[in-house]
Amino acid sequence: MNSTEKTPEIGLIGISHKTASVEIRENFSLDDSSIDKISELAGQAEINEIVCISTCNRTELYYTSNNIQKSIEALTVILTDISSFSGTELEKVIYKKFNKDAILHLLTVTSSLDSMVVGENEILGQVKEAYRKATALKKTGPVLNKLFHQAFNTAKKVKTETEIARSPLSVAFIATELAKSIFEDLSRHKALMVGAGEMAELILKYLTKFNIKKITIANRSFHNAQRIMDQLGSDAEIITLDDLKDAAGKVDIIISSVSSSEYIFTKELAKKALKAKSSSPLFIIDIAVPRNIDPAIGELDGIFLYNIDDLQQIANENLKSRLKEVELAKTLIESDADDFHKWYEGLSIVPAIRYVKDKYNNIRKNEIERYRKSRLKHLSDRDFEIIEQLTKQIMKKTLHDPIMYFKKFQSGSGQKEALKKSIKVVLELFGK
Amino acid sequence: MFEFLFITTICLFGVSFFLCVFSSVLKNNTCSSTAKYLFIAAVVLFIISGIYRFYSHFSMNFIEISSSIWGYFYLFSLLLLGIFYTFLKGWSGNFNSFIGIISPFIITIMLISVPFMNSSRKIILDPESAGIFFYILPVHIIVSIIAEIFFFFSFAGSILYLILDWQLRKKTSMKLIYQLPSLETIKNFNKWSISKSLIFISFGIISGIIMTFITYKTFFMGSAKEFHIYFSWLVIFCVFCIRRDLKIASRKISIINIILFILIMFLFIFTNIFIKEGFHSFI
Repeated sequence: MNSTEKTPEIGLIGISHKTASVEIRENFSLDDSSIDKISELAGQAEINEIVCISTCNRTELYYTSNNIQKSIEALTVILTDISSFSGTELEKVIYKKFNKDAILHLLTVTSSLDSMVVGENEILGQVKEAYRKATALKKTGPVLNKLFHQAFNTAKKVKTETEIARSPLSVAFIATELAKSIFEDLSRHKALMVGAGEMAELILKYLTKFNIKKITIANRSFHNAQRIMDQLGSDAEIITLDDLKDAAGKVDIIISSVSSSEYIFTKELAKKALKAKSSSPLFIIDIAVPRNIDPAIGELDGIFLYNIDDLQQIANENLKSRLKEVELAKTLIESDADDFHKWYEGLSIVPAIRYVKDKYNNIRKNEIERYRKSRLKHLSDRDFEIIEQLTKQIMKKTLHDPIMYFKKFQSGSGQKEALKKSIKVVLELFGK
Repeated sequence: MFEFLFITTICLFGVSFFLCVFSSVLKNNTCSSTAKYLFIAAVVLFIISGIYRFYSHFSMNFIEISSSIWGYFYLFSLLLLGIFYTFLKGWSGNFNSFIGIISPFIITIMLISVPFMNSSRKIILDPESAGIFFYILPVHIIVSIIAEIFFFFSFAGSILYLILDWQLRKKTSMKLIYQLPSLETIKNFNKWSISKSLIFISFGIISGIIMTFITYKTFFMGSAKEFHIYFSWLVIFCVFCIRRDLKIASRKISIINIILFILIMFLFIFTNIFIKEGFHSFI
């Protein structure tokens, strides 16, 4: 940005699950080569900085430009090329936002308020990855760097100061969280998986993430059990369904999803298992339909039995509590977006400040040089170092008040016009 | 002035407790932070009211402070607050759990102390005692009280256990579940508390026996206080055993723990406040 350059504008062009179905969105999906291509073409469209976000739910391009109209046209052409959509078709599904709206949108997206599942955690990682790619391609600058870091901080704030991301919505994750509420350290406990359902595998995967001590898989097909064991990447004991009675008393978590017309785990069996386990609790997740576990087991002390409906009910409650937190999250986001916008508006004074400083500095340097060659010829280099320092100090102190005058607009909102006028007056005073 | 401080302190503890429960149920962050500040204010006022009371009544003489009935309750609450904070402040990093557990007990103890606020009764040491007795007595009292406090920990932990167990069986929401440590953590904490309680009460009994023997050349005088401490030891030992070895469900153990603690506390208050005989009685 040189002293005569005006502040670039922030723009956004994108498509998301809110404006288009998956059939349309998939045409806008950007792979690494498309992002490289966009970044390359961006330079020709007077785009200073650009970050391309492409996830299954959205494709968004955030950019800064001094010629916003030209940039929009260029990006629209690029998106038309990528998607093979006509300009009219594209206009129906894309959205364009500028400056404060674009800032607010990015903060909302990163904080997962714009996600299909409000409060999900993946979007923050995806935005970070998109930003990392843009920095690797050297396509970010002072504005987008600051904006994306602000977005990451806001997302963190929303996550910690609200309950929006705290309550899980995935049934498998809820089951794992419940296990953590029962057991202090999962690495000291053993799990038994009965059957090979997809959901049970997912729960087991989460439990493996929390370093469950040992996994036993009881399945009719040894081949399927072996496949699950390979997928988990951890050693598991494989047993047959006939060995279930003995195994139940040796584990702390049972995940059952076998297809069976009668209960495979009865109250008597549960009592025996509890006896074998001393007073240690047993957490049973029955995700099979029809159910595998006798519901009467849930009445026993020391047994916590959850079926798929119980887990789904918690997921629904969690969703409700997340939605209640949305308003609080929006307030935090709006406040951060306002702060960023103030900083961004304040950027317009940077060229003016730089102009005034450069002008004074050039005068100072020229005068010192002129005197060095004429009246102050007799002085040593050391003396000129002192003169240099002295004049710099005089310049700094002289410019302090005008610079502070500029900066006071930075902290005030709604003074954009006053700022423009003042910049004009001051620049005229300084001979521009 | 003191009455004003005392009532305000109770009110602040009460309000912070209700706000803390309210914030846990409704997940209201504002209430949660207000509860925290009110609780801190209550603790500060509690300390100020104690200092004011002791200064105006006893000129800050520690022996006199600890020898009055009200002073005894006050110091008991202070000790409870201090030990509870030391051990539980790290639980889930959640200050609300701490406020939720401690506040009702502080309020209860403070309310129990009200009838004795202007009581002139003080601990009178056995007139026949002398010499080393004076050194062993404070040790005996302090270790016995610490034993009761650890027993109280297992009581509070048992309540938490039942709350969490109830929430896990309710299967509707995880709001409260997130506020609490895991069942196993609470169970281990209860086991730890009861073992500490057993150690301290054993020390209390040993120091008591030494005291009796030095003074009266006998190991057992048959006083109410002696019966109480032996009975307490037996109860704590039983709870320790069922927590450690017997294959009883933790929920049942928690219920037993709660009932026995209430029984012991009733006997504790009865023997210490209403019986005016024996060692270190309030006469």
